[in-house]
Amino acid sequence: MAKNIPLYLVPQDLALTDRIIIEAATQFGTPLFIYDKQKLESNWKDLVNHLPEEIKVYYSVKANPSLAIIQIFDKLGAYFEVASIGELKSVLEVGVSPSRIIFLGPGKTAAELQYAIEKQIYAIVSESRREVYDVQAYSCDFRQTTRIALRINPGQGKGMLAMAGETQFGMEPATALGILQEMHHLSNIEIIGIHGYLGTQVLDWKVIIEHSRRILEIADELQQKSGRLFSFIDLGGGFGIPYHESDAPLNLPALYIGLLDLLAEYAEKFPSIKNIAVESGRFLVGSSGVFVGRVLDIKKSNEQNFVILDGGINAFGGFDRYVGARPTPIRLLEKENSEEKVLTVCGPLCTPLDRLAANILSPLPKNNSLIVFYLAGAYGYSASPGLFLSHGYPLEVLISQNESFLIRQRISPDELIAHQRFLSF
Amino acid sequence: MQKNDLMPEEIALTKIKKIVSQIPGCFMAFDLIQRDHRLREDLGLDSLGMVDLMVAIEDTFQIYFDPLLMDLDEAFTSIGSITDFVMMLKSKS
Repeated sequence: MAKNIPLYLVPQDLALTDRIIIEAATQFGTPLFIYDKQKLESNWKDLVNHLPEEIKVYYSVKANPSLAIIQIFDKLGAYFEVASIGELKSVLEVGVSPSRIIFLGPGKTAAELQYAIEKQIYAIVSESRREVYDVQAYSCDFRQTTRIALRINPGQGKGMLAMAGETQFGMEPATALGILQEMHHLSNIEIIGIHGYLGTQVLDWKVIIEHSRRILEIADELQQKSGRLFSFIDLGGGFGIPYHESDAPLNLPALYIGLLDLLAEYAEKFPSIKNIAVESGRFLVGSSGVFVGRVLDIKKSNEQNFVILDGGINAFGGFDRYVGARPTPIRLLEKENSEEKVLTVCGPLCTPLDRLAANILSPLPKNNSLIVFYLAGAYGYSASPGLFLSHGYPLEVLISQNESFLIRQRISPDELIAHQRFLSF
Repeated sequence: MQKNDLMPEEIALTKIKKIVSQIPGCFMAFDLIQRDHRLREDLGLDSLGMVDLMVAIEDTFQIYFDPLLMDLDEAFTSIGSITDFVMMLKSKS
């Protein structure tokens, strides 16, 4: 049952040395997230350099919505994909030009749509016919024309195991064609193209090519059947990073060649194309961040060793479907001795689900020492059930040129209490 | 497909029974577990046990369960349903 920690998956170029981590933890307290600005930049270059020139990269804000991170990607020239009014406001707050933003999501409120229309973002990615007509109505109120991309759901991708139920995202190609054929009712709308997102955390470049091809095929078919030309096609993304021992990194050079060939093959079919988009969150931020917790207790119970940290799944527990059963790279900064044992690292919550690494082969840490979880930059802070057990939220620090900057303050238990209201009867 | 990928169902079933019997919380011994035993109701696995089981089966059979593409709830209902699922995955890989 005991499993090795895949420490070799820690990126070589991560500038977060032990000294930096210890200093930040001492200065700001634990639990905390620390991000490496240089690594964010090198991830960006890594992806952009392995994509054909005509492809624009949209940062998926949901992966890490912190303003400082958005700022960094804005400076790098990123475009942005937001999926709520909160994300849209965050991106605008940083000063991103509305022309670099698309807004998607299967359910948008009237307030969200009106806000996006008023701000004249690049495109609203509409996920149903009803939403298109809502955008038409609101755009008419604003006496504006709004650009829309239709999110397509082609069903299960080819070559997959056709077992799971359909997802709630997007619309069937036939529905999209229907909308394109009733444009005479949609005088305040310009349909600029389509959007597809067929997978997440994909580590096989061939699957990404297959997904992209599927979207281009659908775009081509819709153009032909509707007689309209698209200027925007969003191929989705899903660029994965290796988290576990069994994961192999995405082969970027192969992806690059594959995409070049694919785009060359389809170039003639899209004479009006201006914007070919891909989206990336995890690939850009995942490896740039660490989560750091402090050891509160170490104990042996029923022949098992447990290490209890001051932050668990409440702080860093969003998206590990293995619930710690498949270890990601973690490192103890101070060991009790070198003797390897089987241990389970848990958080402070009163639930057996609060485990961050189960049955790993490792020496015991020293009491009160720090444990570092790598690959924590995406879906960490913002995807964790932070209100559970009322510990408050961790804080976030960014390291640039060996200097640390607090980018998000801790939210204390007092603050969690302060925004509630007593009954008045 | 390599020859050693071909796996008679009986071998898969035995391996799966063995794995399930070693999951913390399983209250039935290996030799008593039957094909139609349900993981939660008959064998006592809880949600963490189900995750540990999933990982152990992935490792043993060198397969990958994708929660977005597969109905894992249905696959992880009984000893028999896991066996069928693993056999199907192995035949497609």
